[in-house]
Amino acid sequence: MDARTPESTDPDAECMLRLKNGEKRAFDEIVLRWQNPLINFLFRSLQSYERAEDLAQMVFIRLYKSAPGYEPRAKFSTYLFQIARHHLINEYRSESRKPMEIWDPADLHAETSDESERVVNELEEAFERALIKLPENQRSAILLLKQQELSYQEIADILDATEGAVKTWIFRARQFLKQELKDFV
Amino acid sequence: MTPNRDNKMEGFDTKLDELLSSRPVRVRADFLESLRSQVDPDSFQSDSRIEKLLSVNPVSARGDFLRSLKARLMPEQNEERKVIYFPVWVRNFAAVAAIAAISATIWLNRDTVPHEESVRVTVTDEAPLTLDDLFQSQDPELTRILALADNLQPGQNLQNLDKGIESMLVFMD
Repeated sequence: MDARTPESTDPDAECMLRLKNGEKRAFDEIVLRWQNPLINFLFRSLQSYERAEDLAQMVFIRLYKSAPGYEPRAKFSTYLFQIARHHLINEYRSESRKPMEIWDPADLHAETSDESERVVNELEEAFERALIKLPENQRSAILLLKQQELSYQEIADILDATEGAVKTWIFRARQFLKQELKDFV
Repeated sequence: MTPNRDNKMEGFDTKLDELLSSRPVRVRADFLESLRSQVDPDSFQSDSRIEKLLSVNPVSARGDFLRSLKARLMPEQNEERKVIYFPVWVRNFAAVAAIAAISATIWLNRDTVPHEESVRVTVTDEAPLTLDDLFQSQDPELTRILALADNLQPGQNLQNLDKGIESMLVFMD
């Protein structure tokens, strides 16, 4: 993480400072603002709503506990997704020690909180299959860019890489997804 | 690559971007609540307790709330207090009634008791008498006083008659 000072208009950094000063209501504001983006990012990375929610809780708990030492050196979103990625990698490591599970994207949709509103089709299922095949850094990079709409520099900070490396990862991820989904063109 | 193929690829890129940017799941409504219980369970439980206490305040404001609460918490102690209180009340009442009855009896019999002066006349010429002297005396007046005193406190030991005599003198004019 670099030593840039975040813009004073970052409301989440202000919330963290309020939480640091003991105002617990600020934590609720942060969670309500970030629970949906965070859980969706984790869901795309884990293909399981329950696991995504469990991990999101761990991320928010870590965030809460780190509040006393929080210093707004970077944008809050960078700080949050750094924690999220740390937990995500730990999850992958623990998952790699477990037996492989045979999964069906249709079952994954059934796990989501609001199944009726989701449009399940072949393209979506193929997309999810292809996405989970990507290396972690490429998947995280393209999701942070497209789903979370973060800048290349923020993504580089989160993934602890250079901006050029991030651009390369995103390019390769896009090429791979196109190749996997070429039958739907 | 034909224009038709280019259009298809462009459309596919757009579709891929839509898929990548989508947020397919919606967070359950109680996510924050469950999170709070994990983050700071003590604080969360304290808040919950306080809310419960506040909700029952209108009941606790009733005048008899504390009394009824004590009755529920300490039924045995309440019962015990009743048992203790009743004999004390009866005992006090009985003592007052007995004193009143004794006083009335003495008052009604006051005319049958000789005056103190007449008793003293018979003994002033001699040395002070002891109780033993009185018991052994053949004086009819003394015999009468002893009989009256004996009637006032029947069943008492005669060695306590001096107290009876003093009582008699107190209630005489």
